[in-house]
Amino acid sequence: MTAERRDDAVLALLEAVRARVGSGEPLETALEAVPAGSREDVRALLEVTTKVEAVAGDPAPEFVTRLEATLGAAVDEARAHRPSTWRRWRTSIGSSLAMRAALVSAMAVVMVLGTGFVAVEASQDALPGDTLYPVKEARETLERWFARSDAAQLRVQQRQLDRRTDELVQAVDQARDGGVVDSLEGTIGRTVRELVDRALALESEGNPNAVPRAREALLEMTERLRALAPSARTPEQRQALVRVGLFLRTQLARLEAVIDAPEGGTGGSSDRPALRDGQPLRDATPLRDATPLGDALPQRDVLPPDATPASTPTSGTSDRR
Amino acid sequence: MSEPVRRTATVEGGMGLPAEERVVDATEGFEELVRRARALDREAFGELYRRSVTPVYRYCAARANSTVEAEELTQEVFLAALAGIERVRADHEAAWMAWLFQIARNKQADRLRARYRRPTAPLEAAGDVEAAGRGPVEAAELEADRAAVRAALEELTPDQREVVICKYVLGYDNTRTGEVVGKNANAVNQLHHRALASLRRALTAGEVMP
Repeated sequence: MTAERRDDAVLALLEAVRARVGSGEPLETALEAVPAGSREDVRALLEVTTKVEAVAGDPAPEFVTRLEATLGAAVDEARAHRPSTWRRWRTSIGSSLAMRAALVSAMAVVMVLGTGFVAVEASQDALPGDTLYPVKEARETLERWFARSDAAQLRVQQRQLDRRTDELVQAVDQARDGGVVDSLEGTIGRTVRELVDRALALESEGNPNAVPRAREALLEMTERLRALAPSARTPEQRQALVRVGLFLRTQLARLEAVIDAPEGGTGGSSDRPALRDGQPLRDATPLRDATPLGDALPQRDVLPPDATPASTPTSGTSDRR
Repeated sequence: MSEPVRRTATVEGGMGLPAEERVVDATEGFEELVRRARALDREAFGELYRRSVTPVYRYCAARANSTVEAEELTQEVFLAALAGIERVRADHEAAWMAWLFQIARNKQADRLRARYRRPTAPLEAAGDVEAAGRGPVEAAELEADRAAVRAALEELTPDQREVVICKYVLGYDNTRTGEVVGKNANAVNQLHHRALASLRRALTAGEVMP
């Protein structure tokens, strides 16, 4: 028998004797049932366990009652001074310096991001002169900054031109004062010129898609302004639209010059991509056949063809090639 | 569905409430009792106290130098339990008792550290002689035996001591003892035997002098 098994056997015998003595059997009688070889071990261990059992008695009833009363009062006291759930949560958060710092930082970040997000979203409908218009301009500056390649810059400028057109439509619909339309006229002039300049630059670098895209954007804008013309309510608005329309014609002419250039000319390409719906660029409506914007306006408001958008210099607009 | 069995506590003045108000649903689950106690329900905490005061007191007394010290320790344990009641998660009584014993161990350790820093004679033991209602000689012999056992218990490893206290002071079986010390039945058996062997040597050969 291994030592471990012998230990287990002695413990089992000890438990058996304890049970018999506990049920009232005399100790010696109970020990007689134990094998002689283990009897003295069991007897000695029984003495040990008896001494250990006697080391602690039950609590005095008076003590139990007194402590129960004390605890009852303590429970009432704790309940009376129990902080609210929010306060406990706040206390547990506030007890840690690191947690507090993290919480404050997180709140600040959330506030900044939240305020920024709300401001950026709210600025989408802003017009020149509105409080949030600088936010819109800042966002567009960032947009241009993040556009690394020239092609990406061109796409960004196309999108921004669309927005300027939206703003012009909005300003006319809302019958904003002439200052807003004048400001937009100037901005549109700058944006269109930059777009055309970049498209021509890309064309000269061998990018066959830039000029068709820019032309498509300007044609689309012309169509939108033509649709908008009947809505113009004041002579100032009508004149501004005509000036923008004429300026668009001059810029479209710069692009058409490249498209009409003989093959092998600067930036010319015989395999230009289709414009839309499979229509080749050369088959697209040429500018000279397009209805001028001025035709949609009363004749009295149509300005001479050499008129240019306000605050937009005319020099250098057609001499690029 | 039958009415839940309800009983009225019989301890006079317990928790400061009149006897007729101390109604406890005997079918109430232990987890629900602990949940109510966490919400500082006076009656629920009182019921938990009544169920556990005797084992906690005996556990404390096994290592205390006197009845007074055992009572002080017991009071400290329950006050600490009340202070930490919101953190306890006990879905059965063994878990609740294990938590209380853990508090008791910590309180005992605090006292032992304080005793080593500032040694004092156990004068409070003198009160036990009179309280026991025995003759001075008999009471002194009993206290000497107890002191010898306590000294022998202190020589055991913490796990061995826990097993011995659970089995012989609290009367737990091996399963319940294992729940308190966090060991399986085999480990409890080994600790049990080694502890008894050490105690036997200490108590019979006079290795430990109180």
